[in-house]
Amino acid sequence: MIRRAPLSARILPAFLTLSLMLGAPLQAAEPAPRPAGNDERSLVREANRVLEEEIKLAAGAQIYLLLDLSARSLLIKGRGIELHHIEVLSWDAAGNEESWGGAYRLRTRPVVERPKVRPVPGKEQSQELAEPINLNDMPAEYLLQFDPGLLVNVGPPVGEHPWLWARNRLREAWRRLSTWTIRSGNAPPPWLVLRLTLSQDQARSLAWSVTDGMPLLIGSATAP
Amino acid sequence: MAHLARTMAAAIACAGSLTLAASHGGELPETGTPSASRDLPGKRSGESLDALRARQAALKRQLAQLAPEGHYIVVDTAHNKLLVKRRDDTILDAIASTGSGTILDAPGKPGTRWVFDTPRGEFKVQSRLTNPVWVKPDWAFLEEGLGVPTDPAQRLEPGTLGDYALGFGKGYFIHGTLYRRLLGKNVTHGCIRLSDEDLRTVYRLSKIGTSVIIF
Repeated sequence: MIRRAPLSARILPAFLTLSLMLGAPLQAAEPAPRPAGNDERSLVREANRVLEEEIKLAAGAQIYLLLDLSARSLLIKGRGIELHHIEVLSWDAAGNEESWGGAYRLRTRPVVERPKVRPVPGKEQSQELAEPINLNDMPAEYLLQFDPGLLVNVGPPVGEHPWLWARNRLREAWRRLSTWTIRSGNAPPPWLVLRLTLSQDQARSLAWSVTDGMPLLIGSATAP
Repeated sequence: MAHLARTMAAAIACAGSLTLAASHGGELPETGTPSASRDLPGKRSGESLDALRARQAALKRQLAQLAPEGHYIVVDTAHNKLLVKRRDDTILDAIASTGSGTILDAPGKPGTRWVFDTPRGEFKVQSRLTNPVWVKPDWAFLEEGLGVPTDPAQRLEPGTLGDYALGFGKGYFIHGTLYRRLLGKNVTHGCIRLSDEDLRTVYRLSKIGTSVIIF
């Protein structure tokens, strides 16, 4: 008598395999600690580039992100001040790394279900909570689409949350595939895809803090 | 009458002017911040290392000069904290309450809604009030299932905002609260609440023009 494995046990490997296949193109990209050459002059020049861009952003009132892949840190900053530090556990990328210069802008922050206040006569909302949103309501895996041409894929470590990780890979693959199809068979979009592995708490914290139109800089502002 | 005039002078709407249609999924907002430039690497390829380092030092100074002078306020809406800082030093680390993120639809007005978020970005203290009186906005009545009064005097509610209020624009204030047990939670309509003691310190350390950086 042949006993069949439970449905979930059969689906999971297929799901993970599909996710890996769809996400495979990025695996070919060997993460480089710096986007440019490694000689000292290149590093200082790169730091100057990032500083020049940051000065433009810090002159305004908007909060911005500074992603330093070599330091594995994602900083939330305003007026040049570090407001919050997010540790990047790991990352990989695909695309033209030479085009990392300049500021990117986030199209929309991750969607969160906002509870509606139901008016109740005689009930003061300031006394009784109307199911407010808190950090735990934010997603731990999501895609952030920036202009021009940057897709940042935020997800948890595969070992900690395999289902979330797999869903994340599928979502990314679907986004890339659908965009490619929309471009009616021309060359794939010149997107840089950047995968960031963050802890669940940090991923939620980032999802909370980003806002529509928020600028992102990629690079290191520190030089040896 | 004179008493009413004095009361009105210190009265605040407390985020009551906030009326938004939607907060997500809209068009990319136009901002005044600069656009990208992607031609910098290689542009000064002939520069010596010393010249590059000198330029870096100048850039760092330039960036540092953009930081607020004197005391400034940092609000972390994710963790409901308010800090008063001076350069890198933290002068006050306070538990706050910030926006709940909830939505209230205006009854009988499809498409009109209030989104109770604390705004993000850098703001400036625009007003410093003592013994503020809350001028209850429309949503405060609507969410209690009440009609909006026609008599402005019926909107005044003294004593609910604490001893001080610091306005940072568009009806948003840093103020006190009667509900200390809710400090540390996202429960407000967009304003930032503090305990009486922390509010007193923030009031004392701030002035008109003090930066309020919210993320």
